[in-house]
Amino acid sequence: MVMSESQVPQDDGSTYAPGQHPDLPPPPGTVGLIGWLRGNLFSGPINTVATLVTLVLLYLVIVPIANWAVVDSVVTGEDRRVCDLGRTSALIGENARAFDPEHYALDPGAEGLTARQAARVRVEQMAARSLFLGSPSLLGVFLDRYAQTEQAGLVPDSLLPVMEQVRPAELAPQLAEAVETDNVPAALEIYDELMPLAAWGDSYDGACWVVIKQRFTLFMVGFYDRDQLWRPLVAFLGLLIAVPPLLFAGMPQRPRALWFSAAYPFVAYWLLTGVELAHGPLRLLLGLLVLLAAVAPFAWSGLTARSRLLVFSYLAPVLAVALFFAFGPEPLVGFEQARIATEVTPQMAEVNSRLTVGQNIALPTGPVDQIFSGRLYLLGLALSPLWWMIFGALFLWGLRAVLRQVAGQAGEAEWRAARPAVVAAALLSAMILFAGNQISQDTLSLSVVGTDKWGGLLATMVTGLVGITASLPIGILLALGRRSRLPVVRALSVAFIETVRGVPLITILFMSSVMLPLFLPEGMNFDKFLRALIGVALFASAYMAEVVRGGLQAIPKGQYEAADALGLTYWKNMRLVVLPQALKIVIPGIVNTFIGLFKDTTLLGIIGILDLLQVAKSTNSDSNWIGFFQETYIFVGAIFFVFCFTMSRYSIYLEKKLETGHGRR
Amino acid sequence: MAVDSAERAKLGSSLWTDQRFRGLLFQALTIGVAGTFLAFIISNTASNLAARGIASGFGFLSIQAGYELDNTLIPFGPTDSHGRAFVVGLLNTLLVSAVGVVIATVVGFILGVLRLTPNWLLSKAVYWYVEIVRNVPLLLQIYFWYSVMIALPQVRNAVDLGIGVFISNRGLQAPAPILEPGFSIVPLALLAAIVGAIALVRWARKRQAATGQVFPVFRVNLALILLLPVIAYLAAGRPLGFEIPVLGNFGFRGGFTVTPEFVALLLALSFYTAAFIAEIVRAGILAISHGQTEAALALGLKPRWTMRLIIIPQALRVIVPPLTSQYLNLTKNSSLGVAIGYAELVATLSGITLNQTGQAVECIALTMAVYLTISLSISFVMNLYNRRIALVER
Repeated sequence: MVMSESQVPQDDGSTYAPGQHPDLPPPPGTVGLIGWLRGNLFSGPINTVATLVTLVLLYLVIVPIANWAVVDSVVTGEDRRVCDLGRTSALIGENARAFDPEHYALDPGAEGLTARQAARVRVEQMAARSLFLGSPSLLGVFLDRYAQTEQAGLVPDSLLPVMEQVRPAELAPQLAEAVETDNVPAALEIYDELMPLAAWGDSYDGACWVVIKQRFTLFMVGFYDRDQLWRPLVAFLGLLIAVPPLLFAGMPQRPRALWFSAAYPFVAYWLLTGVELAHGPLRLLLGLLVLLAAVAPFAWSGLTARSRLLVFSYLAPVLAVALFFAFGPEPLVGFEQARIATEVTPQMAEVNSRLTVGQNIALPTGPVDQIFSGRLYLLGLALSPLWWMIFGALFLWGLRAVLRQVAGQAGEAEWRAARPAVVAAALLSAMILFAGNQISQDTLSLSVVGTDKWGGLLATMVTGLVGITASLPIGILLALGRRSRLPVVRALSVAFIETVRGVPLITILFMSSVMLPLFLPEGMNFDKFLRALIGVALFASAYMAEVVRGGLQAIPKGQYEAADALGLTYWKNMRLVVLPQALKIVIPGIVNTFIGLFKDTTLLGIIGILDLLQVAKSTNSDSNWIGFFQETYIFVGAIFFVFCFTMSRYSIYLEKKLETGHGRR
Repeated sequence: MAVDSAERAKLGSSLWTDQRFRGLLFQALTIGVAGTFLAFIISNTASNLAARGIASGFGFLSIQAGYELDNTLIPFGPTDSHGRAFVVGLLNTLLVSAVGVVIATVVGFILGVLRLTPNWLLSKAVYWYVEIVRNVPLLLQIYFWYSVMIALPQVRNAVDLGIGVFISNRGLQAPAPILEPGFSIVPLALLAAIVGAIALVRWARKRQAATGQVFPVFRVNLALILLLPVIAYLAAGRPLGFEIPVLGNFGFRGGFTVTPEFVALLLALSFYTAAFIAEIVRAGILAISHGQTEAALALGLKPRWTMRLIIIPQALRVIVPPLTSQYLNLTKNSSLGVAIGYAELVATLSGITLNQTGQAVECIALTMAVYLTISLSISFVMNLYNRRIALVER
């Protein structure tokens, strides 16, 4: 860059040894705000023009949008009446300003006009006439609406003084008369008097956010039972606690928080559906898993006595609570129930033989239970002494720890080891006491809310989160299958991935809603929402598989070979060596697939699920709210934007965090 | 086989440690499970269909459909068959996809290049535009555009753009060309011009290789392709008339109609895909190291030639594979037209026809097969192109 003469500091006459001259300040205009402006916005003629043109375009786009969405918007009121008042009075003003008496007076039959000119004159005259003739009826509409609003006590405070001043009710007959008698000057005078009203309307003719306000619950949860709204709310708050430990490695208390994250899906399922997860056969399964987990630390050969104790001290409380859920809050009556159930079993055998599996697998409350209950309670009979043993041990241990602590005999380590037992014992005691009476049983059990009532953001988020959680592991398995050495596995994976990727999601959703009932035995059916969930998750997993495959292919062969040489089995090789590297490379792709999946949840609307977008659409076709499509679509679009944009930002953050290559640090 | 291998496994544990044997066993199990699953589904479907009294087969395609469709490229009335409705849907899918691909590519390239301008303001404005369009569901954008189309003035207040083009909430009305006898010479002339252009390119390349002289191929070819059909048209005595739409009591008569459904779907599809293409183009150009530009300039190539001969050919290598999947996405996403009643494949075959005939399996299988065919064809063509421009490695 050449410095101009004036910018060079004057030579002060002193001399410096070579290399000793003090640093000169940078030339003015190359640093600071001005330097930045020059460098980035006005670096040349083309750039300057581009900046100016962009500024003008932005002004033309942003100012009207801001006016509409914020400045002139209506947020008060219970229904659309205030919005309608604003829009009508703004229309009156628009009409008055557009009315041109000269056009009104034009004569298309005048001499010397060509046919084309005459046609044009006719159009202009017609436009002016329709404005002129339409004004009284527009004012009438306004007065009608005002009367209604007044009756409902909803007139905005800002309108009252305008009405006092303008008195449109008195002007209306005068305007009607002027129009009827073709008296243009009189009409113009009346228009002038109406102007303050139009000015009021101009500041109330923007977005009508009342529609969002009034339908907010519908947008959030659809038709979820209105007296149960605390449940989705609690589920959402729980999500806010469950997600951060998964996302941020540096979070304090992360290991403990991860326990909550792991439990969250089950709790949320129970909370939202009202169906206890440990229900029927699932209860049995959970009970068996719990037993297995109780035996595991003692059967495992490689553990020291101390670690056995530690594992048990954490495991046992979890076990006890799980058993509580597995065998019900009334273990005392378990024997009685088992007796009844065994007596019923012969009758159940007939049902069993016909295998009429329940109508509703997502909400397994019905026949499934009856079929399994006989055997379930036989097992419960066998297992409930165990429940008592574990609970007793815990209770005694916890009691002993508390007593020793009170007596001052317990060391710090002992107290710490026993703490979970104390908590669990207290919790279980409370639960048993609480479960003993009828009132608590009613309050403890949630009412079932069918998925057909779910909607809005709730449906969208459940679909998105379940899809995300399911598609990653399935996608990884498919990708591994596609790169497998076994030809059958490879062929099946390729066939699945390519078929799913080759067809639109909508056909898969149609398939799940129309064809799935044909695929299943007579009488067996899936919940509609669950079917759609499966469709979305399978669709996303095929894309996920291709993303993961890209990562797998990018891992140098030496890594596989080194792991083989170390004697790692295939799964250990994948789990410990290949996948951590491969998944890291493809984080952007994985998150992009998540974003795509989240946006694709809107397609559920086409097969009849009331997701967020469908709430907007149904609002727009509701006769009470017709004509506000911009508001609803922008609201829904903004929600999606926030979610998707946050996800893409997070992927950039993660990419930077996991960067171990040779990039700039 | 499973029993046999289980017995052998009992005899000696060495078989379990044999990788090949385990592989075979696992595959046999996989086949067994997959086969059982398939058999389960097929037998269920067969018995379900029998119970509902639905005969399988594609005979329903020749049955009279009995419904009407807007947006048809070929005439379609209530007396036509389901098969013809299927063709109408297929043509509409292809139409909106083809036009959408062209618009999305052009807009996407422009946006992608604008993203890379040194102008901070312009670059940021395009960035936010792209992010907003990319992160809002396509279906929402389709609904939005459709609502905009429906909110346009009614037919009797249609906006007259002059030259016989009208815009209203029933779509866009434009003059329809009427081909008069002798018009066939114009497409023939165009064909001849294209053949000539290709020959010219070959000749110019050969001459440049031999003598080093550069022939202005692009300009000459542009003139050839534009002028030759025009000259043919004039020479044949302008054999083309226009039918101007006329506003009657019940909407427009005559002329050429572009329905609001088509416009809404096309705009949403094109702009949505263009936002993705913009990112692809940007990444593609950024992937070329700056050293390439510097080397080209050092060799004395002008900036324009640097772009054309050095940057773009290399960037295309990075751009083409993801661009292909965007084209595929656009084609598949055109199925969302069903949501606003655009008579594309899913709306006709998997929609009305399915509901009327109850042939769910056939309709959906046929729809999927068509999309698979389209997808594989686009992949095939783009792979050919990709192979042509890909880096030739040893």
